[in-house]
Amino acid sequence: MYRGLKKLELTIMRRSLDYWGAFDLSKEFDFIVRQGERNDLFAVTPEARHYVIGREPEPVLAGLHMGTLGKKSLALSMEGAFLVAQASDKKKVKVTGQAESLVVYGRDVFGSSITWADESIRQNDPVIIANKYGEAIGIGRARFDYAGLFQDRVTVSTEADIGLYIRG
Amino acid sequence: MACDIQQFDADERVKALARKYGYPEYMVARFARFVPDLERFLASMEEPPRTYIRVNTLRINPNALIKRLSDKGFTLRETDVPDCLEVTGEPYSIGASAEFLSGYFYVQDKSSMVPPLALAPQPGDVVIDMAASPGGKTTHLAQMMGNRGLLIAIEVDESRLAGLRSNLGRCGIMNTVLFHMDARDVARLEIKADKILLDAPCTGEGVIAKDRSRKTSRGIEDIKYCSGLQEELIDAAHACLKPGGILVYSTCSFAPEENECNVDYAIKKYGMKVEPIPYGEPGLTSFGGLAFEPQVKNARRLYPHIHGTSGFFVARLKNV
Repeated sequence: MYRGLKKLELTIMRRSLDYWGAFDLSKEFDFIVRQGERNDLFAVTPEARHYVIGREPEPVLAGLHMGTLGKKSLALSMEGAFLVAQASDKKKVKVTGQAESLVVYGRDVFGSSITWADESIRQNDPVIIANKYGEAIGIGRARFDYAGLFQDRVTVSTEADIGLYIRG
Repeated sequence: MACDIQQFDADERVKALARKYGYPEYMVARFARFVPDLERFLASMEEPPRTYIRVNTLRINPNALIKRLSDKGFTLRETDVPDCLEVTGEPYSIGASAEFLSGYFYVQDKSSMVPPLALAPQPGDVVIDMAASPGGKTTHLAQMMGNRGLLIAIEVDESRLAGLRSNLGRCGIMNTVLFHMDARDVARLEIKADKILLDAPCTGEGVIAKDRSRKTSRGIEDIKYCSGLQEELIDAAHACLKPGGILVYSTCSFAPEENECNVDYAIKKYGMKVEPIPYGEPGLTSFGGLAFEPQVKNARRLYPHIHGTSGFFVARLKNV
């Protein structure tokens, strides 16, 4: 069933978007939740939101899947990461064109291919892996804090990437 | 059934062409009745189809995309269809590029861009796409709506939902609500639409260039079955269309029984009017023993040897 966000879910979503430096997205779009084994968050138009809440038969999809709402945070989907990366550079690493080709096939990121990184990144932080234009091509986790990100070894583990569309 | 399936005797020329190009004689005999320049048409179906992409202007403007793809060694050419580029050279499959994966464009035949353009949805419209997979036309409609308003997409085949969902996500579509159901039951959704796209299931004669097996894998019985199904879908669409609303009916078949015949049915049963479309060749006004309403000529046919596309049929019908 699709429904509006509960107060706690709204707080979790806003806090997570703030982590990515994209708090304003919470005001820019309408959001709904598909309640199930996991609670998936979708960005929708006001018209779609009005139409879909409580609707039977239940749609298999409504709007753009932003990610999954956990008890403490929103785990971004690639679609969500794309929007977040458009809004902010926070918790982002940018990689070379050659590395982009590898990331979209699920490969981890070598420090030598990182051309820029957000200085607020700490070890184990979730990060957005971006191309030279700053567009999200993957979601990863930093193995080091900012100072260690540029070493000649894998410094960011890739956990999701846009290539999943064709590999999945 | 709106009309009887037409069959014709094959003369020596038809028999020779059927042998030469590997078609059943009945099919070439039918083509001979309405296709301009028959042999050139059959020869064109043997050539590899051209590759076209539609720029997803929700995410990038055409010039920026051309620049990015050109930097990667792709060569592109603008076409007579808005946001449609022909890929004239590719160092690797353009569908494997990061720009594709980021949803900056959709790979689809140029002919498939005509139905959404004919429907011309506006941001405030309520729109229904009655047969949405794999999502090329759905994402195009959402793009034309500026990702605003409400677009209801329907898909009956469960195995095609995953691809459709990923294309909607890849292209950043927010205004679309997707239902897994038979579009003939669209009334269950309790909504009246300003505009409906019915890109109907069909025999697929128009995509023989992409799938040669269709020369023989479909027959007269399939035309009959599809024609009946298409008629039921038109009935379902009309029941959900607002007065003054627009229904665009399209197929990738050449068969008049799947095309003009169904448009004629919509005119006669519902009083719908066929409005002009600025692409393609005029619809037929007769076929064998069948005569259609004169306004059916406002519908449009696209042929591979004339338009450089897959075979296609499009009609824009107004609910008056």
